Amino acid sequence: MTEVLGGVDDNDVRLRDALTGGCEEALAEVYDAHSPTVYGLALRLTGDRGAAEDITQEVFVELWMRPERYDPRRTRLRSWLCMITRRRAIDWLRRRRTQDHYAPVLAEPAATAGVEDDVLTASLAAQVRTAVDELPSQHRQAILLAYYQGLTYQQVARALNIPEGTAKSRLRSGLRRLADALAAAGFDDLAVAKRQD
Amino acid sequence: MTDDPHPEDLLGAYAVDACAATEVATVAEHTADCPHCAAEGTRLTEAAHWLGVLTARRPPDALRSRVLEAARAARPAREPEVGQLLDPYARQVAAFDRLLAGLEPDQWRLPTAKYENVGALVTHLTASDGLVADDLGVPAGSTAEPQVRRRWRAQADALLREVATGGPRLLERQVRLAGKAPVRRPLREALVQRTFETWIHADDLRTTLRLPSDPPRPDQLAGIAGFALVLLPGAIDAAGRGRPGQVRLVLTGPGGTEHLVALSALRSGPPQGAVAEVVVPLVRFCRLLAGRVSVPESGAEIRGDSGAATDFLEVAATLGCD
Repeated sequence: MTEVLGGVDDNDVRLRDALTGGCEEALAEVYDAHSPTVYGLALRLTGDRGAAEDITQEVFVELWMRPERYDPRRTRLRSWLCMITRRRAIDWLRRRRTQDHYAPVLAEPAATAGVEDDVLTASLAAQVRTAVDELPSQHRQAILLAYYQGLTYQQVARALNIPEGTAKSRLRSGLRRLADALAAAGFDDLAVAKRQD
Repeated sequence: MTDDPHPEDLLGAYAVDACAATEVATVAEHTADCPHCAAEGTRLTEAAHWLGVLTARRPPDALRSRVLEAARAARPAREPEVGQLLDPYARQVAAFDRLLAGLEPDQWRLPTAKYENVGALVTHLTASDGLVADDLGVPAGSTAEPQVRRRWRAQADALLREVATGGPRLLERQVRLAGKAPVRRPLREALVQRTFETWIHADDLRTTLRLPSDPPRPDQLAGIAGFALVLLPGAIDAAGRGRPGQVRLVLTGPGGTEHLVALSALRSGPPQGAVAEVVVPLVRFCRLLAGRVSVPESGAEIRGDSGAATDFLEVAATLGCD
């Protein structure tokens, strides 16, 4: 198993253990820390407030029901919640749109909407925004389409009118550049090399 | 390292769930055996999910109570009484797991306490925990787990989860204790024993690694001593050393308390009074119970009937879980 980069987050470990032990205060703490990220991401993906609220509820109830599925040694809690949120939101989207009905709208401008509501994540968001803005635009387009619209790499290829191999390669290169930029900005989960369990 | 070609071209799409199911399976299978691709996959995934903060937005206030209510309905929160017994155990589980997670492969082969190596120690603890887990009907799905550490942890988590959800009535369920003699006691006592044994084995490993001991809080140590003292009169009988009278046990240091302990569980009637007094630090008494210090090493001060006091301490030293 590859351990999460930059070492395990002790607070994530504490929260996961408390959730396993049925400690409701821990769930409230996780909700207060991460619900803006979960809700905002669900809203961005679905564009539907009711769906975003339902998905937010599902994500936190899933964590509460099965905290042992979250392994703090593999990923940060925030990342894991984002992953679950995206899967739920993408399921919701796929139930609602036909295969070719995804809008080839590039997701760049709306991305910062609402961050000012949340003081805790605002400074992090500003740093991530800078790193995203500095990506070559081809890479940025591919990543944002996949991440915020839930497109597969084949759909990204069609949306951008590029070969599928190119879409895959832009996703990988873009994420590597993003990781490098965030590591340089001091994001410790991206800073150091792998470690074996 | 696997012999399959590295699916590196897919790692970016994989990180954002943008692959077909068959491709996801290919990458997952490959990264299970390929540290290089696993590390890159982890890094790209972490980077991708930082995008999640860009769209952060405060949810409607009413959503908070709605979510917490839905959570409670799906899985009851534990009650305070359960938490008091569960937290000390959870803390020891987390501490031992942290130690194990930091071991290098060659450190797993070090002889530890009475065990051939660290793996054997963890396997032993898994078996002890398993007595309680089995008696509670905790699903044994984790036994297929090849790694001893993960198998132990998965079972401990399942146990914690079962107890947390079960409510105070479950604490009265009779379950098997670990130890030399087969004994069934209420779950509330078995949880104290789980805390005790997990701490002792974590300290075994700390000794091997030349790390300082990390005992439970004084009130939790007092709970461990109290747990053992309930069993002690019967154990003295079982060892053929039962006799009339009591021992006054004075446990000193933080959490210290005084106890009058009968020297037999079989002799009813009015208390005969203390025939001996034993004074020993609480934490050292707990180590004695675990068989980690001998009676002379314990430094126990004995007054009165030294034969009775020695029987008392020697039988106490057999109440560990090895």
